[in-house]
Amino acid sequence: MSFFKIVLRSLRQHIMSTVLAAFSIAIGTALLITVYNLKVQTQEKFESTGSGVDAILAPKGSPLQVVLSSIYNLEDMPGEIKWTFVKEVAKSDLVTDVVSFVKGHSFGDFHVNAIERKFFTEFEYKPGKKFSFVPEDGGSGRLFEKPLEAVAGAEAAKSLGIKLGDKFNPVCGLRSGAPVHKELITYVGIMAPTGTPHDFAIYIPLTTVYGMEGHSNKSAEMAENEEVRTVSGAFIKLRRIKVGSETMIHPDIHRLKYEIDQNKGAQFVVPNEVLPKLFSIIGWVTKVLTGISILVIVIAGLFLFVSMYWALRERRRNVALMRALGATRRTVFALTLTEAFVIALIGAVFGVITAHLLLMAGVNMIRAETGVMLSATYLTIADILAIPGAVALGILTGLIPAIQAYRLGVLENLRMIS
Amino acid sequence: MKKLIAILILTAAAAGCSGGEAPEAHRKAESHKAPHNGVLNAIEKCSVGHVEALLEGNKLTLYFVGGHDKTTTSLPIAAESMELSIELENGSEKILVLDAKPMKLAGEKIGNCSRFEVADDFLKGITRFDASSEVEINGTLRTITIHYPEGYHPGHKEHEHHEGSE
Amino acid sequence: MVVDISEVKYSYKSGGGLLNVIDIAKWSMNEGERIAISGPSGCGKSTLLNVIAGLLVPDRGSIEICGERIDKLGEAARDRFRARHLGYVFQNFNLLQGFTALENVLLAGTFSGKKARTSLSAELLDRVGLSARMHHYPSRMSIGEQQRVAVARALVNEPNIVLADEPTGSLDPKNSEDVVKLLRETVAERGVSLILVSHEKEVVSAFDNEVRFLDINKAFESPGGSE
Repeated sequence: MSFFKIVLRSLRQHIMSTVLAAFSIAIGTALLITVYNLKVQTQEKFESTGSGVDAILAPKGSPLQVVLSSIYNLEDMPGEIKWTFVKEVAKSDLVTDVVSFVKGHSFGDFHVNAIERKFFTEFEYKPGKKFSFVPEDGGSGRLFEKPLEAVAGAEAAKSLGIKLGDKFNPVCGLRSGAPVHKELITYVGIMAPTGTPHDFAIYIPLTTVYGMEGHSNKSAEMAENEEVRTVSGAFIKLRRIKVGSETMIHPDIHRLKYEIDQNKGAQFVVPNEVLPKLFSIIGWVTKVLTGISILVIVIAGLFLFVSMYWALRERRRNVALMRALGATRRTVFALTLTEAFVIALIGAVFGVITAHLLLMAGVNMIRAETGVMLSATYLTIADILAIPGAVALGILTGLIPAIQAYRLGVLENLRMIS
Repeated sequence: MKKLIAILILTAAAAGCSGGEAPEAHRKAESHKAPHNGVLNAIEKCSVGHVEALLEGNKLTLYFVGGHDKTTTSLPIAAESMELSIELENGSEKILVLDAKPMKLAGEKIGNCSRFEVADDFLKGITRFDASSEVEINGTLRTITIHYPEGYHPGHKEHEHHEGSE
Repeated sequence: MVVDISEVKYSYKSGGGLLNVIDIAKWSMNEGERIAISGPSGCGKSTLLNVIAGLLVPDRGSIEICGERIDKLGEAARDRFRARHLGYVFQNFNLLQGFTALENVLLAGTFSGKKARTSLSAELLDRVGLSARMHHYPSRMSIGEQQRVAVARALVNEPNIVLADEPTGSLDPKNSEDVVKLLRETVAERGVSLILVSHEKEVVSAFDNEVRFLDINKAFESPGGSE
């Protein structure tokens, strides 16, 4: 009978405590992996997509809301700014390009953003990369040229099953139940994937939105009259300088930011300054959840230790018998330690599986509630460390019971009499 | 999403920020931050406001900013210009006239301006000076004292910054 | 000789002094012999068995089992020696509850370092009349059946000597008789030596025609004594 078979039989003999110990380790492991996974994915998602936009000219309000709305297509913008003000900012010698946009419309789960054409022709979403509709890049069709034309980001097109020539009515709002415009807009292009949040939106010409049926007369006037026109905000590209071999944003940007921030109706939001604050918030939440997960694992470890410790008291006769049959002290030590290791290993394996099942449920909920797309099959270092971590936990918690088994007296526990 | 962010913020507040600790920490971190990396000088006392002095070559720019920890908020004044009496280390003195330079994007204009500038070769190459002036702020004549590069913070050790105070 | 004991003494601390349990000047046993050791409770019969098994180390003297001086071996070496050369039948059956009859028999082979002898184990269980019960757990067996499993377990390593310590102590007369008969026959079939300890005259007397028996008190009053 093999060593491992003896271990498994022994575990089966105490099936209740074995299952409970493994279960608690699985729960703790699953929590830890899930929390870490969500944190890493969320951070990567946001970090990989702030580029292309050096700053956002926006109305006063929460800078975080501005970034989440304008770049990540979550939430709405906090207000509007004047078109003429945007043009003034564009005159600054620190600004190389400005692209205005209007938010507040949607279709399906996706924002419909009215934006200047040059966003697609001149704006680099990543250094050296502009939006493309070319089939070789994975796109199709062309950029809009007429008011009632639209283009869709790659993910939005995939999710909504959009094909060139399809039509839609934009919804005037971001929530379900909002009124639907009568204008029928035709998809003329599907953007090549960019790996940024721009993939998750639909785009129409900037001035189209002003004249839509249902909007006020003042809004309709904005289509032609720049003096009264307002926009939700504007993406800003800043001048860069060369420092050594590196290119960086001009250091005077803080003066521009200060100046605009003093304006009663506007603010200058730098995504790279705002996102760390978001991560700080997420980081705190993650720390709390991670702390809870570690606590669960510690309790699971304690439970394992206690169950093994008490099991040994019941099994001392078995251990003594094995010694009487010729098992050495080292063998019974190894058997006991291996039992703890196996329980922890089973718990860890189920923990990893459970984590990804939890992620499967979680990412769907996150997508539905926030629009952020995460993956349930994404692997992190936590998945890799779960198993060796379990080994360590098993060895640690099994050590004392194993030492007790090692030191067990044979005769007194078999109750041999002379 | 708003709900999510609210929950995140509340959780962070519960987890990491207890009672008045974090707000106090934040106040301390942001107090006396010179928005243009210049030198802050209290206007008579910290509560009234500050003047941020920025010396670049022969150009001296003064920014009027808020009191206490509101130094990143501008404090526009009505003056169209101001006379600044400057004394150097070597004892030489000069009176310079700084003109209002409104920040257009901030919506400022002459008569409601927080930035004053002068370019003069007197300032070339200097690293240390003291200066004084008088300006009217919110209807009250205030004495401006500038110590460059140390800054001017009268009785700074004794007072504490409180939210909402003058 | 399979057992050769010389000048062996074993005592343990009791009430501030030392209590002599065994004091043997000379005793030996030949291969294939079957010896029953009798004596009242507490006279040292089990202690002698434990010393022979290597579970206890004598205070002095030499113990040679199958040519090996086990008193000179370290504890781990004695454990391994016991696993390879000795079979043990305990009074209280001492089967592992979480293991089937077959697994209990196989277990004895695990620690000897020999490869798992599933066929031999099954054969032994069949020999003791339990082929239909080999996958049953001890809790589902009668006390007599459990002791028969113990007999099979003692033989699975093909030991040189089987030690049986009060093997019928927990059995009723009918089961006692069956187990003694089984033990006697199986060791004889395999040419295995047997040392059986019992305080029951009926058990000891069952070996009359085939074994040399010792009354432990009389045996150790004079060297190599026998009746």
